[in-house]
Amino acid sequence: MGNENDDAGKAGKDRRSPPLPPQAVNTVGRVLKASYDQMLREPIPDKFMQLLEDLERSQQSNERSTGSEQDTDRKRDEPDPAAKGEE
Amino acid sequence: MPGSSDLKSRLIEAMPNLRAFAISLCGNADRADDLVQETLVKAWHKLDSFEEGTNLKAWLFTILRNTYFSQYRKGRRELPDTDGEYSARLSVQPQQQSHVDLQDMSTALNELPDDQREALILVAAEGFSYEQAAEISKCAVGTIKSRVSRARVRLAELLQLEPGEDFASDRYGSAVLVAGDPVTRG
Repeated sequence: MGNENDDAGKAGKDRRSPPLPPQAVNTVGRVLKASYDQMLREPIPDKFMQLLEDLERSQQSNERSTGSEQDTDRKRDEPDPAAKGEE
Repeated sequence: MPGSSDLKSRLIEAMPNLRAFAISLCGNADRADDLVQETLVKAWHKLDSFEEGTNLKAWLFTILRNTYFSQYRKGRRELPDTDGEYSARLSVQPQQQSHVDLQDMSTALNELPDDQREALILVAAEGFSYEQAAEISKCAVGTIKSRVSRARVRLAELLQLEPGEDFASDRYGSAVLVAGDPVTRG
């Protein structure tokens, strides 16, 4: 008497994920997608654009003068692509 | 070597997705923005390791989730709970045809374990394949599949989508849920 119930209860506990009806899967998917898409339509915060511009600027100034970050006017420090004497 | 302005425009293109993914992981818009910023900086400096011709979005998502799981997850529950703020702000924007209760979905998502939430977002919201999601999360494809399926079941429970329920529930509005699912009962 009790044994059958135990077995059933045990099996129920082990696999406690009843098959979701396709309708419910669709519903979860649709609500999730709708809420996610809403986030995707949010405008990009300015701080992100600013960050990218800063990154780009610092990279450019690094390329222009490796070593001195401030004095971009000092043209002598610019690595001259034509000066390959070292190799 | 890709030009920086080219890279910049591709990063900008991916940014809404990075942000939505970050918000989904963090459950908090402020921390999500920190996470996105850190991801952008890392991506910019690690650009050499990106293989041209492969999926840039997947590459960025990998950086973002690694940063989240190594640095951000710990603080998830220590911070004051402001989870509702972002979605509350969103739901103010009127959407004609889709009246989704974002607050409910956001709350339910936050109930999921991190790994399940991540897998579900990657596959069901971002549209990555199971294989791509497995690569991003550095785990087996079967693991991703089972996480996604457990996440779906749990979400359905949390949103009280019981089997056999009439989905034309007032809470979600009819436009999103009922379209294509006519429920006829005799």
